[in-house]
Amino acid sequence: MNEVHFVTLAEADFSWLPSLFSFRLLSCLALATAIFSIGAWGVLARRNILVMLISVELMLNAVMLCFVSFSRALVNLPAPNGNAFAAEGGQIFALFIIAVAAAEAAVGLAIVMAYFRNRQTVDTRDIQALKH
Amino acid sequence: MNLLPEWMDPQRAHAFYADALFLIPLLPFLGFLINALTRKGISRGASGGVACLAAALSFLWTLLSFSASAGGLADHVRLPDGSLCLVRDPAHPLHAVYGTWIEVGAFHCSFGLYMDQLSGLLALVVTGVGLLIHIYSMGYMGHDKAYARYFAYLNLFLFAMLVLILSDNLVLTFVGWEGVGLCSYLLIGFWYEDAAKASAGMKAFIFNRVGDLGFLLGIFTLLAVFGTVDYVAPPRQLGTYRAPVIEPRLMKPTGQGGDVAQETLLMPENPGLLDYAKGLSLLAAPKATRPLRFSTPDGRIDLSRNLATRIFPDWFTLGTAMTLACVLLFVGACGKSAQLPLYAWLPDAMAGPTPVSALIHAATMVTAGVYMAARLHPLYLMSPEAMHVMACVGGLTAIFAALCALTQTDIKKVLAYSTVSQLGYMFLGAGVGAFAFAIFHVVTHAFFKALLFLCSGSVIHAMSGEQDMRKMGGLRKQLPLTFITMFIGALALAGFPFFAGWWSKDAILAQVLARAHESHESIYYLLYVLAVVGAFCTAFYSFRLIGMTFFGTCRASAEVKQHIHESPPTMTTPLLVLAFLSAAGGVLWANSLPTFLNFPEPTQNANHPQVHHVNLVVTLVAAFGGILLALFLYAKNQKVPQPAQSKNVLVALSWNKFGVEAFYDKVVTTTFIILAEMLYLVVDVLIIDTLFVNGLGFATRATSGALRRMQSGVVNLYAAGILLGALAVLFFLLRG
Amino acid sequence: MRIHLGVFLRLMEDLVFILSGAVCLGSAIAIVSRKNPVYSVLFMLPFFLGMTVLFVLLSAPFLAAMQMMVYGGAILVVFLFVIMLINLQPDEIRDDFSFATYGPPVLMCGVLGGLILSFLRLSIPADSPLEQAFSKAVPVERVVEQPLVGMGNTVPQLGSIDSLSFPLFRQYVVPFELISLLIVVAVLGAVILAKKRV
Repeated sequence: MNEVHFVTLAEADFSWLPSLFSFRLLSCLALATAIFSIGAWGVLARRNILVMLISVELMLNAVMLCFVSFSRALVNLPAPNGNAFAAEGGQIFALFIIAVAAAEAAVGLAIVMAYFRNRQTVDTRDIQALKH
Repeated sequence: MNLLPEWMDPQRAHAFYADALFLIPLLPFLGFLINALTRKGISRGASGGVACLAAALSFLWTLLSFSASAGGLADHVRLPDGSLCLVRDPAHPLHAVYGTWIEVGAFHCSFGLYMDQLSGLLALVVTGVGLLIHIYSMGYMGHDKAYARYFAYLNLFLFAMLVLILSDNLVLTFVGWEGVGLCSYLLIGFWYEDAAKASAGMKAFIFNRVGDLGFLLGIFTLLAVFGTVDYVAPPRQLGTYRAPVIEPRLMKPTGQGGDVAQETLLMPENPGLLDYAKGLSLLAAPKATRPLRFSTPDGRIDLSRNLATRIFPDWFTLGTAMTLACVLLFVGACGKSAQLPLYAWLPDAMAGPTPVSALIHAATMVTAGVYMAARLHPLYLMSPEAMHVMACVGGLTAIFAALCALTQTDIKKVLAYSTVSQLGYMFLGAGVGAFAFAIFHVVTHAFFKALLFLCSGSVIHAMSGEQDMRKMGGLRKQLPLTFITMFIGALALAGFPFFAGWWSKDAILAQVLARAHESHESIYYLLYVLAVVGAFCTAFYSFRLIGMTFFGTCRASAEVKQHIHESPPTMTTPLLVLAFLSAAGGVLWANSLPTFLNFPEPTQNANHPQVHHVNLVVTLVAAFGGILLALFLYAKNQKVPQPAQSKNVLVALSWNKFGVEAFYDKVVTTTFIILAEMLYLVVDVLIIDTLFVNGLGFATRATSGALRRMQSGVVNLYAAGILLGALAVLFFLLRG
Repeated sequence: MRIHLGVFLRLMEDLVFILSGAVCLGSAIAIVSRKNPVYSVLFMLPFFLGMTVLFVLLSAPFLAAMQMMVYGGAILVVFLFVIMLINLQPDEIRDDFSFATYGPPVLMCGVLGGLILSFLRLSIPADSPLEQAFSKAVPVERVVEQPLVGMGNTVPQLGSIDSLSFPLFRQYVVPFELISLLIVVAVLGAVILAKKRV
């Protein structure tokens, strides 16, 4: 994108929105964006650490969806350098995301357990030992 | 460069003396350095000796250089049209440029010294009278504890004054101008432990500064119009001898025509201000209406790097420019030479030691303004309005100060007002076109005023510091030498025939009358009348001084009377020398001074014999009348005036200096104090302190207080920050 | 009414996509908005189910299976265990849902989503090759230039185990090994952190 056109709301063109309900790349990506935003909201707005961690998992899932959609879209494009499985890269990376998410969830929950044992709370409003 | 003068070869000798001009200011500067750096460790004799030696060597070298510049070098140059052009006059000025000082864009200013007849004469006067005063000071300041500092300042003053006189461009002159102002401040406030004396020094400096503003603006105007600040074209190279510079000369066209466009003006390379003035005055068109934007078709005339190219508005003609520049320079002269609006520092300057008053405020510094007018006289001749202003201010000052001097009781203050008055005469003479006679009056005034001040110093020394004339009297028996020399000085001041003062003052008054006669403007008649009344007052107060001091019975206290003694020889010898000069000094030059100085004859026809006769009679009547009346009142009848308690209106006016100094003290000072207070409160306290300094601290504290809240320890906020940053990056990435 | 098979399949695709997308979105909103964290965890299940269906739709069957096993079978269970162990009492759940708390995050997330969406819209128009390649009914045919090693003449489909294994153990073998290292480290760390100091 070389230029951003700032159009007013009145002249904006929203006619493409219904096509989001059909199964296209853009609609998958829109879904992923929505789930990501919801997960981000969860991280920012919730005070419970557990719910924050779950929201993080939400965001990771959204990203996985993104990768897989792109891998599906690239499957018939000419393969670069004779690599026949270029489209699989997206799914493999999604696999890695699963692995990393699992590891991170494990460690994160272990930390929450340890903290809860000491302070008896999981509310971020009370976890302010690092406050100035 | 050969150190020995090659007097077999006049050209080489001339070159040598020109290159060696720097010695003249340098020697006093070395004396200053020696005295300043070894103040505590040096003995009185040594410090005084060093200073006097420096002054003496400088005088000697000035004498040698002056004689070299007066030598007979004449050169004819054959011009392209076949005519012979006389290059410079038979008297070759010495001109040496020692290096570039400022070179910014088109502006070029160099360290150069230039000794022609005018500056040579004044340099002789400065160094000669300076030498005499140095010798005198050795005796007068013999008991003072700050002996070395005094002589250091005296030598520094000599240095600055010589730079002023000998410099070859306006900017270096201004350096000397400021330098003498500084030394005047240092020397007036010499006994700075006394607050009144210190503030007198500051007063002098501030008045000078006000004038300096005008001087600077005048320099800028001249620079804007002509693009140069040099007086004359640059000379031969240092160390070699090259053909001297061509004088501006008008060459008539060979073909038809005769108007400005066809005439060609031959100018030297890189002409100076005086060359421009001479060249412009040769061109036929009237000066007042000639616009500044003109050049000639064939380009032979290059009147300025700037004149042809700079854009001036149409109403800014050459006449306007010259008037503006000359009036501004004259404002500077008013400050330095104590003319009417800016004279009030001179009487207060008597707080300094008497030799200082003699040197600075009688003989040399105050004449810097007259020197400036004489040096730039071609420019002044191009602007009749400026000369008119000069004459009027000078004449008014002359009469005003003379009237104020009539009722003074302090012996030095009489002489101070007398100085102001005589300076008025000099500017009056310059204003009517008699620049040579104004310089003549400078020279003679230097002699007799210095003499009068030194004699008064001798009297004060004898009276153990008493300066009030009402407590003196009858001193002529005990101080014979002082009496005789002071009498001679008073005669010279009063304009007694054949003494030095008569020649110069008479010449000036004759010129004023001739100008009045020629132009028939009533203002010049009025000026003449005022000048004559001033001459009468001059004679009157000078002999009032003599009468009160030396005649009658001594009114001093008994203890003072015991100590009255004649001054030591170190003080009386200069008195004798100066007395001789005051008596005989006028005869030497008299009417031949204009030719000697290569100044133009005053434009009014001074050959009207009846003008001279009338003037002669009038001045003789004024002088003799004043002398006799004063001697009658004060010598014979021993009247002791009490002007402070007098009921006489005229005496009260004169005693209060017509309210001028009261006006300065109350109105001007108060205004500036109020202004300063306001500025202090608004700018200093409010803006700088409160707004900037305290505000900076407050802003820092506030910002840090706000920013500190980011460290809340709440994880959600940190996450929000991350998201915000990511948003920003995304936005800028997407914008491309 | 005779409907072409391709059209029917495409309709089915759209329908399934909409359903599973709705499930995902609904459970996502439920996850972040439930006051009781147990409900949040429970709503993760339909979310993962929906994602699985989406992956299958997108020709990634192996990934879908993995997703269900790892996320739904492991991570979800771990979350439940932790919730049980923490044993929050109802009065200890102190989330406040005021506007001051929720306004700014909603705004920011809305801006984020809007930016991404507009970017995508403008860079992937409907006639771009990406979109062209996308919408074909399952399964996806692909073309390879040379016959693959050990496969004979058959070409593996997108997302099958065969096609995933080729790049995984050739190009991406280093990340693969590193991931195993990461898991080891994570396990160790979790064990150490969660151990009770006796």
